[in-house]
Amino acid sequence: MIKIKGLHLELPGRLRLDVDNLEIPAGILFALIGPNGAGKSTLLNILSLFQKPDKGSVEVFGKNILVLKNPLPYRRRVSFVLSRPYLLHDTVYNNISLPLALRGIRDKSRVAEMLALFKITPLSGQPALSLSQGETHRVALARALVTRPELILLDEPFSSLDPQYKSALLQDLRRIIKGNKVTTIFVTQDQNEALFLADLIGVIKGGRILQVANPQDVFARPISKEVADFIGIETIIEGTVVKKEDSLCLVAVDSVREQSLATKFSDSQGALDGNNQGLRLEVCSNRVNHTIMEVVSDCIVGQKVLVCVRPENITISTAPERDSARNHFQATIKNMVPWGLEYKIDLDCGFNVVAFVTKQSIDQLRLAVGQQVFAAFKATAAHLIKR
Amino acid sequence: MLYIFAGFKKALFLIFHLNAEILEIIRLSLLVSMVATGMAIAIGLPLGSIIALKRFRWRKLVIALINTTMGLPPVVVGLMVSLFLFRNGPLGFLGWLYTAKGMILAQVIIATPIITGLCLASVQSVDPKLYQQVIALGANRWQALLIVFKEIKLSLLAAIVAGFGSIISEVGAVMMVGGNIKGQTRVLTTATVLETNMGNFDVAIALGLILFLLSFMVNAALTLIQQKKYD
Amino acid sequence: MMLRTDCIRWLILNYKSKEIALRKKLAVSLLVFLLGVSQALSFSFAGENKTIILATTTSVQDTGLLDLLVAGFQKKSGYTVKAIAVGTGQAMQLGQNGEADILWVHSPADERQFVKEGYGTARTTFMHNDFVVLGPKNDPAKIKGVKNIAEGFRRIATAKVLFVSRGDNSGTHKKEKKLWQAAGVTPDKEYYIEIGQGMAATVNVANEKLAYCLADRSTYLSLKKLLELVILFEGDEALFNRYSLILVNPEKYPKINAAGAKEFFAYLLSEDTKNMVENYGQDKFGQPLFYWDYK
Repeated sequence: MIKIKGLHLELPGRLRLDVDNLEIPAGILFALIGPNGAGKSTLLNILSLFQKPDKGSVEVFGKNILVLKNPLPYRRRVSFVLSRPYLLHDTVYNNISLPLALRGIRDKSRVAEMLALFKITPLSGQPALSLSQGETHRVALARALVTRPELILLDEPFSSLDPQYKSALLQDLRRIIKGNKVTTIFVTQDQNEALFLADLIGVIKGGRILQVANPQDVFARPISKEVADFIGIETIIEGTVVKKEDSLCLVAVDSVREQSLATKFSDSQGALDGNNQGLRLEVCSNRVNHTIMEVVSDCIVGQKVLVCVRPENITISTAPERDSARNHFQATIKNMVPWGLEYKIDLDCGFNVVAFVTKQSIDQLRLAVGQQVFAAFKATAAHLIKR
Repeated sequence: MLYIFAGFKKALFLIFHLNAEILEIIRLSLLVSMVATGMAIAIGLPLGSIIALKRFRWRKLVIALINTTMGLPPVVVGLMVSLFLFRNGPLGFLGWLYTAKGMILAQVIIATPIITGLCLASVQSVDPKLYQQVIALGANRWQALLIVFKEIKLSLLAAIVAGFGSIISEVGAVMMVGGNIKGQTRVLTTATVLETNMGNFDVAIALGLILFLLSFMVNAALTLIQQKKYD
Repeated sequence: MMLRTDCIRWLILNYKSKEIALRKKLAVSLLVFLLGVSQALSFSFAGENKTIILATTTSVQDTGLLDLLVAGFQKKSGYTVKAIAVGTGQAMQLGQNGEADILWVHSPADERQFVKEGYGTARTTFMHNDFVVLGPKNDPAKIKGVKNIAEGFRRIATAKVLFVSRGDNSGTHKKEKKLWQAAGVTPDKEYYIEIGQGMAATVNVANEKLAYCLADRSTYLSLKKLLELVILFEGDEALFNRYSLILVNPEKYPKINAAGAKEFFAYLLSEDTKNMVENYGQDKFGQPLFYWDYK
């Protein structure tokens, strides 16, 4: 459906965009995520013909859109919603029907349909500029979809929205877009939006597409440290695969601790095999220690890796717990900062680990900076990136 | 003091008993100024928008030139137009000197820079993203321009009012180019000058009042059209 | 033109859409208006040269006599007369450039020069009015009763009373300068104001400042009811203002409407005109504004 090949654009001092090969299948919702200045909006501008690249080809609807003589027919099959949509000095109804008028389409039932889909029918006669933020976005999206476009481009459509408007709108948008199976490219900095909406995610940074995969894969199995960084994996530890048992990799990582030795609290009843125990005894004797982590991965022995763990996958307890988690570490709380609705806790386990904890848990466990705690994560909750 | 009062009294009488001659003067004034304004709009709005939206080589110089010509003294315009329209002048073959056409030409030259300049400024004041948004909605270039115009209709109206105001009240150029010929090129302003010279201050006051009322009515009508639909 | 076709295309495309209706109506009315105008403007110059351009002076126009005579001629002959009232200097210049067909002016020396240089063919004086010296009632320069205008001007200079001059190089202004010359004095800026405007404006300025000025009698009469100034001197032959008609030489400029000019020339010297001139002003001022000289 969309095939981008050898695309190159240099905006001196701002961006160098290089997309060697990107294919987006028809009928899916593709989210392009990346930090500010990564080039995602620029890519969208190229697709909507507001920016001309230096080189390359962009094939949409079977034609290279960069060499179109008359871009209007293409534009009229595409809807582009800017991050700050401009509504005109007119009623909501007239704003939504404008694209139809521009195309000479007289089917006014579509406007009513859109008003209903976006739940804004009561606003129909109101001046568009008197609307709230959330309503404005709804009108802008209704206006973009009223023409039944074959391709929808959304440039950070919710970035200026308050969370309360956002979630409701996200749900409605998902319902509408998925219901119609329109190819949609959606640019955002917000991974949650992408996770919620997208069928396929592309991670872009520094003008390069780093990974294209389905949302679960991108978030659970980032392809590189850069992707891991961007998608919010805060715990990234260097290590080496030292042993492999079926799909379970044992990864040795360096740990440096001031006071106590890093200890691996596996089941003391001897549920685990002896090799592991022996290894632990060996590493305990050094100042710079090796700690062993157990991670499910397809890496081979000897592979240098990064162990990635999402903060929400790390649990904290005040006593060594018996649970199914295979990795337990003694840790010191170094810092606690509010993070959205939760707290972000920096832990020193001899290596840095970051965990999210609810306020409730903090109160229950009476967590404080400097306190000794235990951090744990499952072998399946971590991901290895090859170095 | 007394004659001012008497002048106004006579003026009001004349306004309520418009004779054919004054009616003809009013008709011509309105015709000439409205046609000239219409033409200045037809030139000025597209020109102003093109200059505002396009990037070309001497753009800044052109803008400076337009801003300068906005303040062009009407008599200078009148002089230049007369020189060109003289029957032995470069445009003499048109036979436009001392005709309504010549007056319209002069007024178009006066009003066009004003409308162009103000249109330019208002289009420039529009967020460039608006234009992008409209294009993104599938507008062709002219549709986009029309929508942008609609968005800035208040400022455009102000431009048109300024253009119309500058020529309905203008005397120097129409006097020179039109010649203030009775029944042919005599308009409210030149008639006012003439009546003043003749010492008929009452008639002059009446003409001045009529001019004021006409300007007011035209402006009020434009404003009403503007405000009618939607603020 | 692109704009227009695009507009029309757009209008057709959106013919029935309701919210475009208002815009459509506006656009259509604008188009109709412009088309109508271009139509109205093209009544144009078929059957040309029924137009005669008369260059004359504001002093003639300001009395209203010009309109009367032009209207009479147009009715009788079917010609259209474009009477352009400007200063004498500009009127002569228009003639010299072939921009006028006939001149009605009052600056004898210039007129003779004009004819001598071949720009004019026939020249004849045909009527006159006269100038008067206006001043405040108390006459601070004591010019009332002097035997000639030269003496009067000398007294104004000696008394250093304010004098307002037109200063526009018009026939009247030239006349005034000649009078100063004849009086043998050069007026000093201290009390001599040149305002560069028409006769009525000059009289009004003098009236406001209670100054002296030279005015033609008709302007004085039409302004009289508003004036505090009075006539302090009149009747000297040097104050007579003799109007001439000159036909511009068609050999110099082929575009000149010689036939029309000739017909108008004849009309202006006719018995009918004489009657109109001699009666003009009688009803309003109780005295004529102009005196007939021709034959």
